[in-house]
Amino acid sequence: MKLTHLLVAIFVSLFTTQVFAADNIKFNGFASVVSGIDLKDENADSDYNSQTFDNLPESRLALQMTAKLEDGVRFIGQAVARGDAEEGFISNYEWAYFDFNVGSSGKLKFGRVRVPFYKYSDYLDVGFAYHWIKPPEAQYAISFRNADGLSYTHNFQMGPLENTLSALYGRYQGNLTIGGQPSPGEIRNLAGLRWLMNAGSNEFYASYWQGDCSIDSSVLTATAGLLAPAGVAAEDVEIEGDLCYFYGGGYKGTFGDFGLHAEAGTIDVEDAAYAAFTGAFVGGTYQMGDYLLHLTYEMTTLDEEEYDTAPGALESTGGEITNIIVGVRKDIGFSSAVKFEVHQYDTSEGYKPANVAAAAHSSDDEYSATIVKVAFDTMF
Amino acid sequence: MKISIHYIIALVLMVCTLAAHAELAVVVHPSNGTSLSKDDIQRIFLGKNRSFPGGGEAVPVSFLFGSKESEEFSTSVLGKTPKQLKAYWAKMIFTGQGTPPKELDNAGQILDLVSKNPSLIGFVPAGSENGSVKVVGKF
Repeated sequence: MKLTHLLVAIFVSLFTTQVFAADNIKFNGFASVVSGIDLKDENADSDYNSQTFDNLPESRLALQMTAKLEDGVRFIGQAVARGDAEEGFISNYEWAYFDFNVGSSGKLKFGRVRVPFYKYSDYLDVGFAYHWIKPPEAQYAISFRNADGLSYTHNFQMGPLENTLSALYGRYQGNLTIGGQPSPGEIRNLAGLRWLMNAGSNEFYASYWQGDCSIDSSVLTATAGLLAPAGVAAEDVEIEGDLCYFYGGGYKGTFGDFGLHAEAGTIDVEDAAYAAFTGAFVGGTYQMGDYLLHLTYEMTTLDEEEYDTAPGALESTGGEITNIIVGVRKDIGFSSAVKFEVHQYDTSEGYKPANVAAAAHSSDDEYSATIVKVAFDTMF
Repeated sequence: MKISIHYIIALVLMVCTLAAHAELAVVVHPSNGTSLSKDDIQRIFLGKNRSFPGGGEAVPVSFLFGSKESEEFSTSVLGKTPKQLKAYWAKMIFTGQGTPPKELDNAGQILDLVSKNPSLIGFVPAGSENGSVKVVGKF
């Protein structure tokens, strides 16, 4: 039985054997409907097509239940339905955990919990909580959000700095992306921490995570087969318990009506065959009453790297993909917002998102895409 | 004469400003011996601290979101506009870090609950507090 199912079953049994006062159970939810169109459609990897507006790729609806079981003990379940081009909305229990208060300002969570890789990780799906339709993909590139395990969050003051330290140890099972393709995989001994610091209107964070990654990928298996005659060992190509890691950081500053945002991070697998992947963005905002105007420049960089044993056969040409986001957000009341964004993507010549095999990516030529998106975010 | 007119206008504006800012009293149970700074109160009402500085569980109660007392408290004590406060609690709820204070309709309900429970802390319009609670700050 999967851990999530087990936790839900435990909670249901608790629910049916105890009489809860209405005050002890709270339901909250959020929804984002995102519609977009690719004005150029030269990019085969784009979520949107050029013929019509698509509503599904980034839309989501969530319902969260918080049940207070005892003093300082709660169960939290969050079901999220995400838009899928083929299946409509697919619903999953993304959170299912018990949490326990530790002292005055600590919290221990056990179950399926969010992995706080980034600044906005904790509320990545809650579109209302930030100004973009979704945080820049160059930085927010890790394809999974949650893991099964134990996490601890502690708030503390250090001089003028207000700090939140989050740590987690656990395991992830599910799809991992390699060569641009999602493949079944897992990360064991996933561990790390994120440190958020807040000094008035200046916020900083630093984050480090690592784990033992395994990916069951036909692309990797085929690449290993191709390289075997050149004397390359299969274990050097395949990812089977290899150490993978992410480190990153960021800054957010508010100066009256102006805001400044910047984050950067690197993902790598400790194996010469795979080039490091670095994402970063910098942007500004300007608040005008209920309207917020924003501009962001984001960039993904792939290191130039060549595998010594088989020059040319397994290499990264390096390169980068850039995106400029221009957008506006208008708040409607206290809990809804409508957003409009234009994204201009461009890649450098020869860019490949991963160097495992040229064939793994649909295009290695220079391309660009202009995507227009409109979103409506609400929470309840 | 011109100076006098300016003086009168300034005086009127000052009176209007004072009238618009209704003072609030932060109240706890009379047995609660703790002294609280504005920062302590802020941390308790934002869910960052779950105990009083001197020890003991701290549970905040508030006026209904959108009421003038709630807006006044949010602006003058928590340092957030009502919209920023709503967004703050959205983050806290959807990160599983906390839930906003229990909301009550009027000062009478807040005084009644606080006077009966040493863990509670609330706020009421200054002047409406009575001997059943202890005032730990006015803003």
